[in-house]
Order: sequence, then C-alpha cells, then structure tokens
Amino acid sequence: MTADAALPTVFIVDDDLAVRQSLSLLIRSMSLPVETFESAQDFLGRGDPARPGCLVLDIRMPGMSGLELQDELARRDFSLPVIFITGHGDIGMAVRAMKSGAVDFIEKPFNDQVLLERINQAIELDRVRRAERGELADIASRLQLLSPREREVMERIVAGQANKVIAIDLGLSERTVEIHRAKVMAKTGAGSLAELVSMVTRMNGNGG
Amino acid sequence: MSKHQASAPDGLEARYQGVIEATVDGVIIIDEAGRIETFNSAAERIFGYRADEVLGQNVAILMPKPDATQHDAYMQRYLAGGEPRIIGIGRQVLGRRKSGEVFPLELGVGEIDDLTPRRFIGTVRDITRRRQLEDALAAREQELSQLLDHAPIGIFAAASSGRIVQVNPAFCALTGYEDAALLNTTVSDLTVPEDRNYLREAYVDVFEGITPACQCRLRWTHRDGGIIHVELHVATVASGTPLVIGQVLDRTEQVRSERESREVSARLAHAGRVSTLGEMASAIAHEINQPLTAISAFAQATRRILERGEPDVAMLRETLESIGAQALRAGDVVRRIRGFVSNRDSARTAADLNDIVAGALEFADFDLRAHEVSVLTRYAPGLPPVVVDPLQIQQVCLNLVRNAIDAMDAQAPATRRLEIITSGGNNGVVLRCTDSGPGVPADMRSRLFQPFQTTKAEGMGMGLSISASIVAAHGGRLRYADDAADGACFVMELPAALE
Repeated sequence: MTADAALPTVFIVDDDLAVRQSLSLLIRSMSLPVETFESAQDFLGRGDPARPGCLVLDIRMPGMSGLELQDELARRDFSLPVIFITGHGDIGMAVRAMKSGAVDFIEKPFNDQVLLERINQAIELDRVRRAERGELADIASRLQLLSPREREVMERIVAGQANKVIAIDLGLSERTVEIHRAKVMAKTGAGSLAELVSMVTRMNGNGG
Repeated sequence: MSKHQASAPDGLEARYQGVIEATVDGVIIIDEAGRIETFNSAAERIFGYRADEVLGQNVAILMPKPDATQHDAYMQRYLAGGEPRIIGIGRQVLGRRKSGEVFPLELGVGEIDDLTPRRFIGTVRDITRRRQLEDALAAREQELSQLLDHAPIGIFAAASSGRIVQVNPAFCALTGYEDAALLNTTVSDLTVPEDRNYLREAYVDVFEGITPACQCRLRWTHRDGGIIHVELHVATVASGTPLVIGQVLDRTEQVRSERESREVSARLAHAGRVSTLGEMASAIAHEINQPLTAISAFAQATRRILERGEPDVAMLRETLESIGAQALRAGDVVRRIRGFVSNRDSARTAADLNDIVAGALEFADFDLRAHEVSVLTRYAPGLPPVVVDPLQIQQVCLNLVRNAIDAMDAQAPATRRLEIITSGGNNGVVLRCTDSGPGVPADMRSRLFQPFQTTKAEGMGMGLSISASIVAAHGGRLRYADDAADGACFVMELPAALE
C-alpha cells in the first residue's frame, strides 16, 4: 500500500476496524492511495510529515481524541489538512475542530460523493500549501546567495530608489550600483523589477 | 370630759363602749374642737400611741402635713355649714404614727349629731400592707406588659369564642394589623380557610379541657394578602377563666428555605435521571452509527468497483460478507438495548400504580410549577397491584408528563392543563395522561413510538420509544388515544398481578 511516497495519500485514523476497512476500500475504489491507523498514537508514531495528502480523522476515539490529535499535530508543524468524521450529537466538537483549522467535517454515515469531493479539496489544498512552502524555501535559498552589499542595494531597489540615489547613499559610483543590480537579478532569478518586489514581499510577509 | 381611756362622751351608753373596744378597726371620737375623746385599742395598735397619750389632744397629731395644719380649718368650714368633704364618704388618707412614720389608711367619718355638743366618729384601717400588695401587683403588671411588648414572638389572649382580647406588638408586626383591628377578630379569621378545621380541632380540645395546651402549624393570611407560616402554641390560663394564651412563631422563612432545599434536591434527582436517559440515547446512537457507516461505505465502494468493470469477484464476495457482518453487529446493539430495558426482573415488586404516578408527579413538581401547568389528578381507589420495576414505570410516567409540559409550552399559561387519571379494569390498571396542547398530528401518530421521531428542536426522539419498550417488557402497552377531545392523550395499560 505504500506505493509511491510522493503520491498524495489519504490517511485514515479511526478506532473502529469495520469503519477503517470500509472507508479504506471506498477510497481505494476512487483510485486514491490509502493508509489506515487505529489510533492517534499510532498515527503520531508512523505518520510522516513529508508525505502529501490529507487526514481523515474520527473525532470520537478512546485514548487521544481526534481533537487532541489535531492540536498535537499543530504543535509538531504537521500541516496535513484534516477532515473530521463525526457521529450524531458531535456537532459542538466539530465546530471546535473547524475553529482549530480543520478543513471540513462530515457526518457518519456519509455519502461517497460528498466524501470524495472533500478529500479532493483537501488534497488540492495540501498541494497548494506545499507548493507555496516550496517556493518560499526556494526564494529564501536564492536570497541567501546575495552578498551583504548586494542585499543593501536590493532593499533600496525594492523601496523604489533610483540608481543615482542609491549610489550617493552608499558612497558608490552609479556604475557599481548597476553591476550590483545585475547580480541581484541574476542570483534571485527575477525576470523583472516587479518579480523581485513580489519575491521580497512574500518573504517578508511570511515572517522573514 | 373624762380622761379615762375608754370613757364615753357624756350620754353615750356604756354598751356602745364595748362595741367600740371590740371593733377591729381603729375608732376615734373627737369633739367639735377636734379634741380626741375616745381612742380604742385598735387605734392604739395602728398609731402606736396609748390612749392616755392622745386623749384631749387635737386629732391633728395623728396626721402628717398638710392635713395636720389644716384640719382645724376643715372642721370650722364644715361646722359653718359647708358641704361635707369626708363625712359619710370615706377615703384613703395618710396617717402619722407616734414613730413619725406616715402610712396609708382608709378613713370613714360619721357625725354623732344626737349629742350636744356634736361629736365626730372616725374609723381607720391601716392599709399599708394592702397598698404594698397593690403596688407590687402594679409593678408586676408593668413587668409583664414590658415582657409582652418586647417579646420577639407574637402573643395573644383570646376568649373561649376565639375572639382575640389582647395582642402584643410582635403579634401586630407578624400579621400586619394594628391591635385595634385585631381585637375584633378571631384566630380562625387569620387562618387560611384550608387550615381552619385543623385549628378548630386543636383549639376545641384546649377550651374543653381535654388537653391543657396544644400546638399546631398553620398558614395565616397577612394583611397584605401574603401567606405566613406560623407555629401556634395555645394554653389555658391556670386561673380557670375562659381565656387562652397563644404564642405564635413565624416559620415563613424556615418553610421557604425547606422548600427551596427540597426543590433543589428534586431538581438534581430529576436532572440525574434525564441526563442518564440522554447519555444512554447518545451512546446508543453512536453504537448503531458505527456499523451503519461501515455498511454504507462498503456498499458505495462495491458499486464503484462494479462500475469500473472487471471486478475482483473474490474481493466483492468478501465485501458483501463484511456488509452482512456489520448489519448483524447493528442488530446486536439493538438486542443489547432491549436486554438493558427488560433484563431487570430482579427489581420487580408488587406496587400500586397510584403511588408510582404520585411519585413521578412529585419529581415533575418543580417543572410543572415552573411552567405554570395546572394538574388535575384522579386516582381510582383500591386498584389491584401491578408487579413492575417501580423506577422504570415512574420513568415512563415522568417522560409522559415532561412531554406534556413541552407540548404546552407555546400556549398561554392559563390554558396549560394536565389531567392524570388512573383506573382499573380488564384485569389490569390504566393510566391516562392528557394535556391541553395541540395534540399529535394524525400523520405522526403511526411513527410516534419509533426511535428518533421527535418534534422537539433538542429532542433525541428516544423518550416514547424507550418508554414503549419498558411498558411492553412489563406485559403492558403504551398507546396514543385517538379519542381525546383535544390535546394529546397517552394511555399506559399494565396487567394486574396474578393472584
């Protein structure tokens, strides 16, 4: 079942064997890879944060409940989108789960079409989030290549200063500023000034 | 004028002398000038003078001032034809003993006018002792009155008619009336009509001397119309006068706090039962939901696999087996619930349906009053006993009452009526529980006793379903009566215990 670790996988955590088996079969019938876990502890032990996909989590379980697992994953920077499955009368818990960042909850027993939709949405969300995180990591590594002087020049370019002004401010010739500027563009891979501004803004927006 | 102690005035017959001597009161005879002519032994005892010390002396020596200095003037005024102020009248005056002690005495004065010159005869009685007693009595009365005025409890005196003749300030404060208003009333007037018979019974026994005192707890009406709870102690006055003394303790606050604590415990007991039922329903829902979820997912997966073509037959067979197993699992849960409900034979005992229903109403009392539902109960006397688990049947009754309260919640309080009637017949007993709510729509009635049927926003729809199971497990039946004129009517029938 651990086919390709890079393929988005549906991770199911439910204490009920029959629910696990049936859910696993249903999701496989939708041509999606599935892995099942019989408890929250089981998932914390075997789950791999690097693997994409989504988490289908029973809200009511003995031992660590679905909500507690959600909190624990957040603490561990486990960013897998969570779909809760709830029973009758668990609406209050489901609302709490949503507030804690769950993408959705579906009530047992569920309609397969609804489940498939939710799973696809969650997987897509995970893909977008991972891509985003990948791009940010990429930008960060490229900015890492800049020398201190090039970084100084870049900050002024992004702030909208002309080469002449930057040259006077930093006590450089205008020609030298032009060379630094070309290196910044080359090292960051930015095709235009607009692209460079966007990169820096995203990095700063992400908490630096 | 003789100087002899017992000498009579001239012309007074000797036999009078004997009478005067023997008189227990002091006798003093004076002449027109106020000089003492006769002073008998009793007078000697009273004033402390021997007769020979006073005979011939002005009578004023027997008086303190101002009488002593004015006496001559009094006499002259009278002799000159003035109105008599003391003669033939008698009064209490002050005397003065030889020792100088001033004391109260009762004085009567007469004129002996058949003698010339005229004489006056005075009889004196020492009333020092009497005055002391009177003073002591007055002081005692003052003390008693103080005691009454400051007593923290209400005290009254009443005649045998029950009419109140005296009250203390605490009694006035308790009832809210002025004492003047109370003096024309009876204890019975103050008592609420429902308690008057009880009062009469207790009261009559005291008046008729059957018991010397009685004590009873009553409700009185305060002047402001409110009810006050009192404890009344009534006792006859020892002197035998047709008078009783009553003491009244205000128990209103105590009754209120007792009732509150009773309500709290009833509410807790009630909450305990209801939440148990609610938790049970929730647990049942979860238990059944698990296999249903599995069945549904297996079935949907199977359909998808079939739709894809070239199905793995072995896998499909396995899936179908799983579906069957899960259906059996759900059935097992249902069986366990039935067992839970009926497997309680050990708790069964012969009981009176009336007692069970009354117990349930007691539990619901708080809710009924909180929702201002008026309850009419008619308990058939002499019902045959039923062999049941009283707690379970009580739970059923309580559930019916609670449903009725909920059903009437949307209408005006004055129109909220609950009728609880028990009866016997057909080798069993019957409870009819009828409310004045909108009733159950005809299209709902057939599903009424199925689980998860509810019209309540927060209901589980398990109450009637579980209730019906409980009654059925007791060999009885819970049904909806279509014949009710208005509102909903539920009928519980239970078989009578076999002889």
